[in-house]
Amino acid sequence: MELVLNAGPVVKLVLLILVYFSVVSWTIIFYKQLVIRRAIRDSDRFLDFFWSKKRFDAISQGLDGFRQSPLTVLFREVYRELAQSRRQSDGQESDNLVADLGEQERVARVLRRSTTSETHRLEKYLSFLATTGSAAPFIGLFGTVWGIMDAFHGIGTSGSASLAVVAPGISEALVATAIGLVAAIPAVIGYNHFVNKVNVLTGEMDNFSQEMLNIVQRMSRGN
Amino acid sequence: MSVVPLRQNNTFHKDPKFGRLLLVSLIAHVLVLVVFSVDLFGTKVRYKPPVYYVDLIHKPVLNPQAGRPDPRPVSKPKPEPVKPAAQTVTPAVPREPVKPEVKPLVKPTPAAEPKPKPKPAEKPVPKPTEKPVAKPVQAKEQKLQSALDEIRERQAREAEREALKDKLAKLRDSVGAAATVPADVPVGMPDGQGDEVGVSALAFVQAFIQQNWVLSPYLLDQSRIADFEAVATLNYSASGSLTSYSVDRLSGNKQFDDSLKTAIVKSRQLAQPLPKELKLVVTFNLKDIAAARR
Repeated sequence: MELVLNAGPVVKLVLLILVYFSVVSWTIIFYKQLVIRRAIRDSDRFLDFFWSKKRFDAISQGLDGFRQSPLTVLFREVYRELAQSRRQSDGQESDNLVADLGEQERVARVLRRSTTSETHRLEKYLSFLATTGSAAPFIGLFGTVWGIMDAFHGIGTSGSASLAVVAPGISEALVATAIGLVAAIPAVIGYNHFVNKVNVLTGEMDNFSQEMLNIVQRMSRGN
Repeated sequence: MSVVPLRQNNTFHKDPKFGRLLLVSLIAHVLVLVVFSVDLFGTKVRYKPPVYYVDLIHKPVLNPQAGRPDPRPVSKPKPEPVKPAAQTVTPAVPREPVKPEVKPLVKPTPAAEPKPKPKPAEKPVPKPTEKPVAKPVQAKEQKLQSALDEIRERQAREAEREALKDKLAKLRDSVGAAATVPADVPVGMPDGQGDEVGVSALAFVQAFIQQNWVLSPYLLDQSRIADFEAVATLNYSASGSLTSYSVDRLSGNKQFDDSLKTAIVKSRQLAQPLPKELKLVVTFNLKDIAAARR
């Protein structure tokens, strides 16, 4: 604590910035941990629920129990699109084959759009973790370099290069690098962990999209 | 034609509140800071307790008595073996009655050369004794002569010792006042006129600051050709804390002046309390400091 208090103004500013990075990084780590853990848990439960039911309207009525799952959003959007196209087709008479192909394309577009938006939601704030992981050590290094410059200036003023004169300034300066690493290491670990989890969820969304398209295709053929 | 609603997925998910998690993160950081800064588990036990060096002799006083400021240079063991040797010789019985007779004999002999002295003293003595004396008296004379020789030898040795003592005293004078002062001289200042045991507060503060003064070897070398002197006014509380200071006259050498300020700030707490709150005008001279450090 004394090392921080005895540091120069520039080093103190650097330390404040690093503390800000650390606080926000940990906030994001907590946030993403909650969001992604719930998303995985609700996705597993939703898939069980989905394959246990045979009707879309029955599934749509039980969606509230899986609100954190991105698959729920995909299903909800597809269901909404199908319901809307069915309402429109009930009022119009057209060629069945053309209508079916159009419906499948619309469902595919809805699935792609929903997958993209859910992926974005899951990846939200992760860029800050990446920035902290890469920039915080450099910011800390800047504080250290500045502190050592100050220390050498002090040595020149006092005229003595003994360890007692040199060591305190350098140790104060090195605190900045230490805090930079303290901020960066959890951010890098968290970023890699969450990117991996998001990739898993994105894969699940792709698989679910394919399943949904197959089901819609079968429905349109009346199977 | 019905209006197709835009996507409203954002409200579907129940994401955790970011602000609340920010607060949790902030609390976690504060806790980590507290754990590291406050000794919760007694981990600081491994550090050794601070050692305070207390100088009981250098007690700063307002009116120091006459005496020596520093008792350390006095070396007792060396002169002691000389004194008892002289004392053991002096109590010899024949010494006192012989003194008046021998002094004129010994006086002309130089103190530095004790050996050749007894020879000229012996020569004149046997010549007058041999010629006029008859055989029956010869035995008595020989006895007297031998006793006289013995006394003269003793006197010569005595004179040699006296000469050595004088030399030793002169050497002590040349070494310095501190060495000549015996151990039982009271602690004070050479120019002290008061009645308090200790050194003057001014000298104490000056010595304390000079002790904390980090001077470069280059500057110390320069003391042979340059004479840097600065005057500072220091206000110390009775507890020995520096309340304020000002450098009234700078030396003109930036390095000297900067290091003086650093030394004053470093000496913001004296090792001992002062007799009362004091305003001291202290002069710092580079030559004096360099001389004290050599």
